[in-house]
Amino acid sequence: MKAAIRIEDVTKNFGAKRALDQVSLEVPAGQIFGFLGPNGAGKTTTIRSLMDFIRPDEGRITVFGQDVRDNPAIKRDIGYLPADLQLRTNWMAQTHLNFLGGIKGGKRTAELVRLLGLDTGKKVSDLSSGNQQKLAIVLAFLGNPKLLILDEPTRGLDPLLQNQLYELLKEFAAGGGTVFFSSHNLAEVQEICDSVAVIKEGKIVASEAMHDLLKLSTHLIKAKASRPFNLGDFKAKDIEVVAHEANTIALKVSGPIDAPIKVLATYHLTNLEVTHASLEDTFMEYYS
Amino acid sequence: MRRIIWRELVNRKWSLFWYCFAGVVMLWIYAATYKSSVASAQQLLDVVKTYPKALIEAFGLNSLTGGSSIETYLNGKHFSFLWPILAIVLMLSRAGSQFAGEIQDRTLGLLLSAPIHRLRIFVAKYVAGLVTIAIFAALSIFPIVPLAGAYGIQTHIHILLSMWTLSVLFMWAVYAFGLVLSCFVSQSGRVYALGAGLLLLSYIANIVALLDDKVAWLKHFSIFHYFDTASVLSTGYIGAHAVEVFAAIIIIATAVAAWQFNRRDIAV
Repeated sequence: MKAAIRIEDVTKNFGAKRALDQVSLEVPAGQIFGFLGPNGAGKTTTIRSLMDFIRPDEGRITVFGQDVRDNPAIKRDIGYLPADLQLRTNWMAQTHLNFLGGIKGGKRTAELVRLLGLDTGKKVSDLSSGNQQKLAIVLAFLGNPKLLILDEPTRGLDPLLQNQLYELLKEFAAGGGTVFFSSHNLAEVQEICDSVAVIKEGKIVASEAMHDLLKLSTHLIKAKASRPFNLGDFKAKDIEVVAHEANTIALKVSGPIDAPIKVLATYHLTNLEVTHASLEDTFMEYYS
Repeated sequence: MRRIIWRELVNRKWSLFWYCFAGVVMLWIYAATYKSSVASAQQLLDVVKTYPKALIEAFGLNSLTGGSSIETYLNGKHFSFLWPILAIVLMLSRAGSQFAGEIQDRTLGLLLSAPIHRLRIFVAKYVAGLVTIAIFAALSIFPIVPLAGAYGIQTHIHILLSMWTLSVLFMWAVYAFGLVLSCFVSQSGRVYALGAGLLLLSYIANIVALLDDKVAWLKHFSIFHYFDTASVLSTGYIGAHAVEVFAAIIIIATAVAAWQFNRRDIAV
């Protein structure tokens, strides 16, 4: 599959602090790609590098095969929503739309404004934070972008509007668009993303299709048997006993679960519960 | 690019309006007081004659006596001190807000996310700055023609045109210098503080050079030495050396500012 974004061995230092360390990432076209990491991990630095706001010390970034720095016209194909809104408080919402729409084109503007219920006749300073976020979303969709780069886009939105945005993003991806999407909200990433990358201390620690990542992730197994469990039977690299009480046991298993299931089956089980770890559990594994 | 230039001008129209308004009001006051001032010129001249020669030159007091024309009168009252302060404050605030201020407020991200090369953004803002300079210089000089006319005072348009040219060069140099600061830092306050501090040093260097012959060479490091309003407003002639120095400052500072803006990290 053709890559919408290709980041190759990108390193960025801010003085003595290394913000990005040999980051490599490929975002396939037509996908919703989640980008996870705690505060200070390097998410926003990566996104700012993608937008050519900051310049990496090493490495190369291309969007649709083109270097953004050499060819800023490629930004016509990019819709961008920053984590910290970049709106002019003394402008009306409509002034923003006219200004950026005049540069990028204004397709679907009226439809999006209506859909999100944005009052474009007000000054930004008079808009609530949620409405400012709506304006930023409409600005990101201005023109005819093929790629959306969104830095925590649901911040400040109520659940109803969050769902509206999810639908917009799914519709955008279904139409062949690509979404690069950073978030702290792991549930929303799990719900809408096709692939996900995790960044930790400036390094990519995982980059997988969502189903592969979850497949690789932890399972929680709770079992009850007619006789006491022997903890020695569960001594293995990928197995951790998280609770044990007489005839019940709870195991956290990283990787394939067939081996512990075979052991458990020798205990004449009266109850067995296998829970697939959520993205949040997986995320916490990377950060524990 | 025209869209960016236009928005730049519209965004800052009120500050420009008030600066121009202040300039026109001051010209009106000088036109209204010119004749009475000339009438009492001899008394003032006698007082000024008692001052040390260097002090008279340093502060342009030789033109305080009213002079032979409204233009020389304006030099003593306006262009040798008040006008430069107004122009410097306008230029530093414009240069500071255009880049450092927009980085501080994060509003520059709106332009940076658009499909426009950084140098084109720089040029668009720069052109808006030049339009501001041309408007302010014109509206703080040429209204003297109708205002003086209303009081029956004759003006000399070729002198005022030379003064406008010198004013544009001076403001342009200060603006370009302010842009260098604005493209290196990320807070407008730093541009104002650094810019005002360095220009104050430059002003002091010129004064000290005039007061003490031993350090007369210092004047060559002061932009105010080349902003010789006394000479221009009495003869209408701008020295070639002043034009060369202003041109050099403008070209070098503009090039450095553009280079830095194009290469720097902008964390918005």
